[in-house]
Amino acid sequence: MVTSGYRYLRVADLRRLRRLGFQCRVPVEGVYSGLHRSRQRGQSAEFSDYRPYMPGDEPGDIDWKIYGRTDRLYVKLFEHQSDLTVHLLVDASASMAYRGLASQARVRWDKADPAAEGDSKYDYACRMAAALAFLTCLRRDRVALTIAREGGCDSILPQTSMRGLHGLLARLEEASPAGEAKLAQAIGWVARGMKRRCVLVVFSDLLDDVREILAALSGFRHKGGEVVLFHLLHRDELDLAGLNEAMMVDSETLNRFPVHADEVRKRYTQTINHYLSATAAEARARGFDYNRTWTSIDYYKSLERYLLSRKARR
Amino acid sequence: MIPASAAILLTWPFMLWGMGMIVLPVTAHLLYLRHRRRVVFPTLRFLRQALAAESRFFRLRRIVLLLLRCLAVALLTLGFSRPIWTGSLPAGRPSGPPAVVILLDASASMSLEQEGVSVWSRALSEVHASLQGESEPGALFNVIRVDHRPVPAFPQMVSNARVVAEVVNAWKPAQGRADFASALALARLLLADHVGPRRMVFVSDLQATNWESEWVHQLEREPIRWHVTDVGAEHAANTAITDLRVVPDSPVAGRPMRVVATVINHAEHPRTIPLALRLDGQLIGTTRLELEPGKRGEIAFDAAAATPGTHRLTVTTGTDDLAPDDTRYGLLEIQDGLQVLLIAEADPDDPSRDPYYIHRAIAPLGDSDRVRVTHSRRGSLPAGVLQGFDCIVLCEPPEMSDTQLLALQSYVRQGGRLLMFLGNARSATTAGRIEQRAGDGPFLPFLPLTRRSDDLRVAEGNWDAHGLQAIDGAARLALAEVLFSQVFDTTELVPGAMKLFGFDNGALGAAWVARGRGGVMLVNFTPSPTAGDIGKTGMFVVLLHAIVDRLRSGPTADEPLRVGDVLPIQVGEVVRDETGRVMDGLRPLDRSGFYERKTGEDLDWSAVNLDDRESDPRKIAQPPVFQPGDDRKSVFAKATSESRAEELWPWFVLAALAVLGLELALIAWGGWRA
Repeated sequence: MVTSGYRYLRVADLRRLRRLGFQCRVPVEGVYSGLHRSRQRGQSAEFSDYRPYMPGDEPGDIDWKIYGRTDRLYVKLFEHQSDLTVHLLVDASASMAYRGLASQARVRWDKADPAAEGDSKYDYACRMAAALAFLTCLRRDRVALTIAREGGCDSILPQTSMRGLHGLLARLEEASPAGEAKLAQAIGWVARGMKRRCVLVVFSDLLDDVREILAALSGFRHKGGEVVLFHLLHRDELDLAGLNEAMMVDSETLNRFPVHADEVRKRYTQTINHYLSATAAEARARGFDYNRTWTSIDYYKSLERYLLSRKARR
Repeated sequence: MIPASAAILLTWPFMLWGMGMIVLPVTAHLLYLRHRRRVVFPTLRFLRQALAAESRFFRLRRIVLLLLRCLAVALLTLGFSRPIWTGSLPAGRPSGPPAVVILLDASASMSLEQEGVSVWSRALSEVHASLQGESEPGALFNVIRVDHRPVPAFPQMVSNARVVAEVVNAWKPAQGRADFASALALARLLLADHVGPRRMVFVSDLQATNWESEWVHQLEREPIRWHVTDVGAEHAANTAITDLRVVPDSPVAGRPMRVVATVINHAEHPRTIPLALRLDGQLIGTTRLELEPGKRGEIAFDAAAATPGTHRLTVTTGTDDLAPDDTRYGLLEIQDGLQVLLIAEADPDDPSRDPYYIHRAIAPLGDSDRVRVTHSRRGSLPAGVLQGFDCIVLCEPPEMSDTQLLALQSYVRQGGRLLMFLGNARSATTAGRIEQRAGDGPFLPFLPLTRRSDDLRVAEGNWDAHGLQAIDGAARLALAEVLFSQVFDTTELVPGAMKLFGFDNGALGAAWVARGRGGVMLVNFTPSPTAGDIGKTGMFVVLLHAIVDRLRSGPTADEPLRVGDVLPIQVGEVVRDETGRVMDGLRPLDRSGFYERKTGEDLDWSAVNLDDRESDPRKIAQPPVFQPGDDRKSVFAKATSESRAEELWPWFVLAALAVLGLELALIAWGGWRA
């Protein structure tokens, strides 16, 4: 396979995604003209709306035809097309490092097959984030990155050039999941730094306090931004497949206790399904673009499916 | 020391250290928990929620499985410690060498010989085989000789089987019965303190008369293991003399008598039995008796003893399978001449009068008949010499004074016999006066009332009574033909009196009552030869002789002695058996035969015979309590294993396997997880 030289960006995958674009569903506020709708008033040729004349408006904005018909003064408003800022927020907590139960099976060192290990949820998130970053840069939009890790944020300011993309990709590769993400804080930080409306794409397993996360996202959205939420999960997390007796260790708190999976599988599956359903319903109710994504599905397929559905909904 | 209440003992208690292996399943349980596969999971939040609802139930399951494993280990450990169920064994009986007590039947029937082989020799062979059959070191033995007085070879158990065998070899069968009840108690006593397996072996001919007894039922509940070895002969042929009697039972010197022997054929085929009678060792006569199998018959010898006193009788049969019962011993008391006083008013020399007739009836041959009759008429009762008479006959008595009547009563009470004939009015009056003078209650057996006018016949009689056995069947028929016309109606018999015969109208014919050491016989007919009564018939003589015999002092009421009885010895009396051995009165009689009893110059005899039950060789049918089919090897194998009580280790191992099976079933099918 010809790679891009970056771990999380494959050229072969990009060929498929190139024809897709990442459109914003809400009007954006860009710096430059771009391809996206914006509530900013600009010199675009696309008529948007009328409003009554107010002293101080430019006479050139007055629609004299309407005045001739109504004897009232109205000012034309035109849509401003601006560029899009996509803010990628990747959860790099310890739980995102999970690769599945198979990867933790006891295998002789000389028989270990790296390919059998699979991507962790973080890897998966980074691949999706890298792909979205590439698509964003390809349309000359701006992409920023924040990696939430160990309660802190590692951010890259919005970039539009490929050079900036490279830096972003490198940052993704440099980071490794550890500790708690404190995602809600990261979201708040991003929201506070947001000068213009943008799209916040969150890649997380949402194993922090979901209510805080959703509340933080609501705050972001309240400011006019769009929230796209990719809820990343491993199939093992749903049904404990392949697990019998084990000493379970929490990846973030390092708490441990023994588990007889067969005894609790049914009850566990019910619990987690209930949690997932509730989270999805809550997120959608808040107007987030919620997407549950399984790491067992190729990331590009997940992204492709999402982008197509997004395009259809626009 | 094991407490008395313990029912389960451990043969190898040191194996209980294996209980420490219980730590293995516990350790495995803990290690397994500790060293499970370590899985790092994104979050345990949801697992914790699920566990909170299910953990208690599953934890209980795991504990149950752990307990089952521990129980299996415990049961296996107990099994390896070889527990035993002691059951009814006394406390404090750990394993030890076996102890065997052999109960050797030494009753008279063990002398039986068949085709040259004696039952006793066969029994000795079995005893020797039993003694040699136990090869375990330290085994203890003893043999009890079971006769009428069981005794062990040694007072305690011994380990030298050879010595025991030597003692047993010197034994001979006794002539008494086997007291197995006492022997069983003795065996229990010998084995009471033994530590180890215990066994009793009965070596016997299983004679039914010994084994069909209450003591056999004790064996059903006997805690000590026991075994029976049958050495009895099959189809034994034996005849025996079971009884010896004399008729009359008080014979007089010089007078004929009849010796009657009762013989029984215990053989399974008819036999012709030769018999011989000896009196004081002198052969009197021989005869033969044919008997069917199982039948009893009588044979009689006619004999006479010339001198009064005690004479020895022996009746012997021919040889058969059992020799000790071929001779029957008896004693004969021969009486001297009978002294009779005849009190009558009439002239004793007048042939037409009653005294003359009675004299001739009693002593037909005169004084040489050994019956001396003295007459006494009115007023001439021999003073002071009434006691010298064996019998006083009142017949048509004269008028007697009160003094004379009292003298008669005194004579009777001091041992005299009074015979009084009714028949005429005076006799009846005299009877009434005697009764009046008695003072302290009735004296006569009954009293006459009114004279009857009809003729009566004898309808019934107590012909088995002493003295009346001579009235045999033919005589009774003849007596029944006699018409009695001088009969009184009578009162009822007084308490204690015995009716000898009665008439067909219910009136008493003759009755006897004891008074003091003597007695009175009242006869309700006249002896007159001229009256229309028995007096003129020949039956009168027969009846009179019988009555006089009845009045004679009868034989003593001593019980016949048998081997095994204790002979009562009087102070100053020396008793010897036929071998000259002096008897001490404490030991039971152990031989049949005559025993000489001497007190000063007075010599007397006692006759001792075998117990008749020993003559019957029939064997007991096999009751279910017996254990047929045990051979000697298995006897001692059982003594080694079974008397060690029941091994329980197989049950413990089975229980452990069952527990493990249950655990596997719970895991495999119940979905339980360790």
